[in-house]
Amino acid sequence: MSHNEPELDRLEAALRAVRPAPPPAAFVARLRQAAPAPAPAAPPAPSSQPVLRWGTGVSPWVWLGRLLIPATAVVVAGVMAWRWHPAHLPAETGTLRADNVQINQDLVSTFDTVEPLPNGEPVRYRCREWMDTVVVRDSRKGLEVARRVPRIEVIPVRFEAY
Amino acid sequence: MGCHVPALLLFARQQTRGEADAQDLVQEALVECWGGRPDSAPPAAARVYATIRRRAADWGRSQDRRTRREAAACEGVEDGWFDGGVEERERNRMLQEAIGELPGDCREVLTLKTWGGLTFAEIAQALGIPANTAASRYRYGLEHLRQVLRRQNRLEMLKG
Repeated sequence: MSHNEPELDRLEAALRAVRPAPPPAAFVARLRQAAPAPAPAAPPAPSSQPVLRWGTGVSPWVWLGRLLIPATAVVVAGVMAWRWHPAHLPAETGTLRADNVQINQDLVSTFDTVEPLPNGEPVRYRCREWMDTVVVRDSRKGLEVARRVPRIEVIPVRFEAY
Repeated sequence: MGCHVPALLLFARQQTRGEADAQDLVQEALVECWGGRPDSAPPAAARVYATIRRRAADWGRSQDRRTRREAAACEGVEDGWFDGGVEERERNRMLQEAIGELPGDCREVLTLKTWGGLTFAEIAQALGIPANTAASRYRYGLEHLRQVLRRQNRLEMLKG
């Protein structure tokens, strides 16, 4: 079989001369409806350096606002940063600035007790009495504040656990 | 893309059993290929043909029974594959029958090459085959079509 045979060439040309049937009108209309809408023109990319131009039909008040709003924001941000900087905070004489905190837990006593449940089953409770001590120091002012809080820890223990 | 629609529809008609299915297939393939392109640039024709083919295979698996039933109901009222007036009606019917006798893989390549206007490289891309295979299938399909037409004594009729 040779593709260069004249008869095949003529057949090929004859086939090319036959056109596919055009699509029905209803189908074309349906395709047009389903086709994606052309993409809207992309808005111009905002320039990082806005160009200010007078006399382009924009009110001077609008231009003034455009200039003042960012300038005001910058000034306010600067003032707040300066105001809240630790070096500029007013000295707080009455407050404690802790630079050393200690928490101690001292076991004061331990004892066991037995109490029955409503169903009569006895339950053993292991009780521990703690003394929590919190010590806060302000070495700059030479202050030390200590607070002692008693705490009781109760652990139920069943007899079967022994 | 509009100029490709007749060939796309012809290809889809060969892949399906009903005109309605063929139209749905073309529409869905175009929407799928166009959907991912926000710039609305027309998709490559080879990609649309490949999508039609893939979707037709999916349809064939999922809707085989339904399509067969509808095709039987619509038999004889389907649109022809080719364009022409009253004079060409017999020639077109004969050509459609002859193409229908071709093996499916040869028919695909012949259609894409002759009426889709694709190159062998594009056909290879659309069908997922090597370009050499596409070329050999085209030659085989052409030869097979000639034999069918000659057997029916209709070769001269096509050549006009």
